[in-house]
Amino acid sequence: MSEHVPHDLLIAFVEGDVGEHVAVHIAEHIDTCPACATRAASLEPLGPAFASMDDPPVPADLVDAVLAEFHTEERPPVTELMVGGALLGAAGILAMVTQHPVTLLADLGSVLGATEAVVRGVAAGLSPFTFAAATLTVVAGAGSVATMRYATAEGA
Amino acid sequence: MFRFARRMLDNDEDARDATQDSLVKVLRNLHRYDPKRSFATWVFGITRNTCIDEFRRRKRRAYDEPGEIVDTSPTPLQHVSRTQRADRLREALEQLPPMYREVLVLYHFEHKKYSEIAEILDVPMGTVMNRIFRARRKLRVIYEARGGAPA
Repeated sequence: MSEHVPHDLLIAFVEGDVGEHVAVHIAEHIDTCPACATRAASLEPLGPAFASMDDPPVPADLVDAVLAEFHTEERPPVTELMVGGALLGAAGILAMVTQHPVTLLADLGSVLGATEAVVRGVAAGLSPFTFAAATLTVVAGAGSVATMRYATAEGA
Repeated sequence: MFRFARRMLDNDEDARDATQDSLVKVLRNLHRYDPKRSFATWVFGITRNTCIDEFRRRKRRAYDEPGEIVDTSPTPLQHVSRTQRADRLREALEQLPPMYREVLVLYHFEHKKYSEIAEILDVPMGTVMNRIFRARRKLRVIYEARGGAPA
């Protein structure tokens, strides 16, 4: 319906005196036509009563109470962090032992994976100790990559 | 969310609990949110379901069962103040079954579009229109019975 709803039809709509198919058609038009929506609202017999009701006040401490409840919930396990760290360590050792350029890529990938795991872990609420351990693991992995690069450059 | 819950439930405490529960559900289920949908609509859907759960928990009244109509004798006033009109409408809304109350609250107070209401309630538009027509009729009857002139 591209044109505005005729007055009589709009009155019938507000009164609920139209069939379901027509009602849906008009409702879809009203959803996209502020002018017809305003006209329909002005025809609503209880419009003044609706307008007279103020919004109920929102309790000031509601958000704090929700956050407090959310924080007391059980924290998710940090499996991703552990897997990322393990992959990082394995790839780092492999890179150090073989000093092969192919392992460099794998090592770099695992560093990124572990970093992501740490970020996710922090978002999920890690303890400071776990966070420190995870960070050290990532730093160690990055160090092994740097060492690998240096060793590869020296070898070349 | 609180406004909607307060108008769906009958008191501040229940509305506060429902809002709190809804917000925690939203935070817990953020990974299930489909970005193709409107976030506000998704949140309203969760709030609405929490309010229905609250109705069922209290077993005061089924979702689609009419509430007890309280017959308060109407006061024939020439002029009805804004506050009186608001009080009458609030009381009339509380008499409506939740199934009808929610469509009116979403449309007239939360200013949702009909299509958004269909999405929040997860029902076809035709169902929304049928409910809203019946809801308006019932509300007018209760409102007028309580002494409120419709206009």
